[in-house]
Amino acid sequence: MARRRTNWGLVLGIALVLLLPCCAAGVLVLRLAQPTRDTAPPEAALTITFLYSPEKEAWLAPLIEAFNRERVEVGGKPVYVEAEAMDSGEALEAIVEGNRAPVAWSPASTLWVPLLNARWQERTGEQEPLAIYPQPLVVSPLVIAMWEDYARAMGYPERELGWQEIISATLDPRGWGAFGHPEWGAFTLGHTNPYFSNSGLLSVAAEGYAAARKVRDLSPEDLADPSVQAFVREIEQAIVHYGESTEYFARQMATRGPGYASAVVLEEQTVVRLNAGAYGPLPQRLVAIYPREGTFWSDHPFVVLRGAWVDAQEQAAALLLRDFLLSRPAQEQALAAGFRPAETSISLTGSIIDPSQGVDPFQPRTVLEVPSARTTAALLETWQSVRKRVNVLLVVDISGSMEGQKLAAVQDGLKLFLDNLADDDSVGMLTFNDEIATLSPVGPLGPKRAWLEDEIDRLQAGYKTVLHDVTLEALRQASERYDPSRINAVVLMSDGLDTASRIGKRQMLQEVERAARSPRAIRIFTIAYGDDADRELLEQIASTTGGRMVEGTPENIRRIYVILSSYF
Amino acid sequence: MRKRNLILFVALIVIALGILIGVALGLLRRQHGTPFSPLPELKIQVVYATEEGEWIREAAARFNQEGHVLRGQRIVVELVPMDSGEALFQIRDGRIQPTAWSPASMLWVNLLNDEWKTLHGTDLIMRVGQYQATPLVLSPMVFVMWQERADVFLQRMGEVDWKTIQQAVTAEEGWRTLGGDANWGHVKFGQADPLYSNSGLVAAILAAYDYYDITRGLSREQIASSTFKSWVVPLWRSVVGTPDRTSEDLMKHMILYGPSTYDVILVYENLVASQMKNAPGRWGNELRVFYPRLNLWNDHPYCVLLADWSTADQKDAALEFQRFLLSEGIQAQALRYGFRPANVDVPVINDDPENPFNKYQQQGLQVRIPRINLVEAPSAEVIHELQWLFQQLQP
Repeated sequence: MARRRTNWGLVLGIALVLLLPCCAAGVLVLRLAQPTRDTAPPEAALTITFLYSPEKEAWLAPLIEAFNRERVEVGGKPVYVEAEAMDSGEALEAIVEGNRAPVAWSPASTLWVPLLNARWQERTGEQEPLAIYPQPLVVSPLVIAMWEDYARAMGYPERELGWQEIISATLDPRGWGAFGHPEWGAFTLGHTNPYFSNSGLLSVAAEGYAAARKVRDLSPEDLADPSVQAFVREIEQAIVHYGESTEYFARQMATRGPGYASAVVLEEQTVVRLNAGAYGPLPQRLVAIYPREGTFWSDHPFVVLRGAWVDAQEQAAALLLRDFLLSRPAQEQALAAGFRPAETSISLTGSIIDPSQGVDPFQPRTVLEVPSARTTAALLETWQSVRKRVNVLLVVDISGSMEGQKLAAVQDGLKLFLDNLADDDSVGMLTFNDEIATLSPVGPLGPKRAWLEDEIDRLQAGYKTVLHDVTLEALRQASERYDPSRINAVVLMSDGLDTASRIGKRQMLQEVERAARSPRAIRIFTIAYGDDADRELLEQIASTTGGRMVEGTPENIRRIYVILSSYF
Repeated sequence: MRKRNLILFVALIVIALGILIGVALGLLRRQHGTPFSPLPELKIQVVYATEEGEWIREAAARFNQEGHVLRGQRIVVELVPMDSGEALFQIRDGRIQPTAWSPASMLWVNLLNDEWKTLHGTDLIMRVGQYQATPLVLSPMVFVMWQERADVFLQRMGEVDWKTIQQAVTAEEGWRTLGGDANWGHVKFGQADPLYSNSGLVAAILAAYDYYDITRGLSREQIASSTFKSWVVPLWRSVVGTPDRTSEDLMKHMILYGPSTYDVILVYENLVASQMKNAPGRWGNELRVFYPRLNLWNDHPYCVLLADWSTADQKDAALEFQRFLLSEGIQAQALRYGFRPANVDVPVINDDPENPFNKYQQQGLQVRIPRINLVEAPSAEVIHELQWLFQQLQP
């Protein structure tokens, strides 16, 4: 049988057809062999810490996770970002004091960058700035968020409103009566504490400009003028209370409506999110007033720190993170979160930045000049001396469960709280276990500061808990010392369930509710300390009175007291 | 061996070989980030002015992809973006050691040579010969203003130029004085920082020439005179916040913050072209371009540094990259980014509808600039005096 000849052409053809997909398969095998992607830090990761202001949390938190999943490498090591939301002022202090050592920071505004550099220089004597390469990630103008009906009563949208109109309204003794609505009561305003938060600092700067009748060149000399100080003091009288972050104000506006405040100074982005229902349904829409004299932009800069704790690889990693956050997909997500993206090719037309959300993409039409670091320092000093004073009663649980480290941490926290108050603030203190003891009635802090600190050091824990009784006793004492020119509040800390009160829970809550409706209402801020605290009850007391419940542990209680001091 | 078995055997060998080649290629690509080549690499570093941006980055990527070879070595270009001022300091201090540098204008060549000569007694950049500084692309300076505000401005002031802008920024009641909306606030001018940015420096130089109404011979004494200071300081004080370090940032920020922060700015012509399309989507308003009466070409010179930190091969490789950048195809690409090609064989006007000189004619972009008078590049001491004066105003 004749042997058939081998068709080498066919063999070669088959070989070539097979070669290409097999090469591709080889590359694929290599890709599949790469480590799986998850959110835990990979082994031998180059870990960098990134602090950012809390307004950006909804936008940044998922993006940071996505970046960590990317496993981008620097020097052969996968980069892993540990990010934390922290108010701009608090972050600045933490960096300067050495309590935090981030590689990158994104405060809410560039205003904080020279402040950090100046403080760093003061502390270390180093001439080179600590924060470098500031670059905006997103921007959002500072606006006055007002309930739509209220804004319309003032002439919105035909009448252009500004700081002057808002300030006049807060100073008018007729309150909303001056606009045909006496039933709305006084014109109440909210802004955050300028030592902690960007919008608070910018609000105070705007007040300074309005008081000095300027739009630029505000100087420490202007702020030293007694008439300027008197003007700012009067505006601050309309403040409901301060606070560490705009997030808290946004939640209060959503849950309490116009009864909480007539207007609050916020970023445009927060107004968009409020109207979009991100904080729950609103009783009516909010509108953004872009002050006609000008406002400030929150430009959310990304800065890399060049402290001794940051090496070149970490700096490079931070810059990769920055580029990721500035990439088009990340920037599109920023717009969906209500920010104006730094990527200018992304149009606002047809976006969430729209009059239907109470905002105007073509505003603001002018700005106030950002004050210098020197003027900013003077602004903070001025505010400290003219801010609304506080009548605050501190209520401290010293029941048996507080023994040991738990009480020691609270003692430190209480002293930090007092450090942040001025001598002419009024402070009182109650302690409770199965008995209530008035350690000091509400009165000026100055003369008793040292004595009170000693008393705090002497606190001892033991016995049961009369939480219901002490709540009503605190309300009674605070009401007795009520002063309409001050913020009147109770700060109540408890670590357990009520075990020994004479008054039942229901009766106590009814009394609290009745007191909250009175014109001499007292806000109760509560701290649920430790795992056994009665969270539900403390939350109910706080929300009924327009205060806030925060959860504390022996590890964070010092910071909790510092944060609560920002409300006063 | 039976034929069927033979085919199967060959197929299996090929599959195994394929997988091996695939893995090897994948590993090589991962290590180098560039296509695999058996030739040794000849790396060169080119520091460029940030404004050259996308154009030069795309060109370098293509150059590396094409695999240009010099004396048996494959040239690999590494690009480093840096403001002209910053690059000058870093090269002078030896903190960076690039093979070539392309600042935004010839001004920086003079400044670096001036500093280098003081330290080393020679020039670092040649003005003649094989390695002479050679323009890559050209861009004049332009004023950019929001259309709505430009209409009001022109009606009251007649033209947009240094003297009218200076009058406008000093108007007591700002826009109200000019017949505009009182709520537009003061007239706000924007320019980049002359200490770091070429465009900021050129802005300061042009303002000074315009004030004295001359085109050459600007002196240090003229800058130091009190009359000039009292004229220029209000202009610079009207810049809101800290001046941007680059013209690119300034142009972006004009779109980002809109007329709230910048009514009128002075930037490179090419940057306007890149951002023009973004203006209506942000502020519902177009931008208008105006050419100042006195101008200076930003010619983005490509300079092979005559430093001992690069070898003769690296210098020649840098020249090869220069030739590539000046080739007609790459020069035509520059048009898309709003640059005017330095290669005279490439016309500014072509049929490309994306060519900004076609697209934005209505907004004032012009191929032939009317009434332009070019000014002489001032001496290093004049430049230092201007920079010092500007710096005095910063908080």
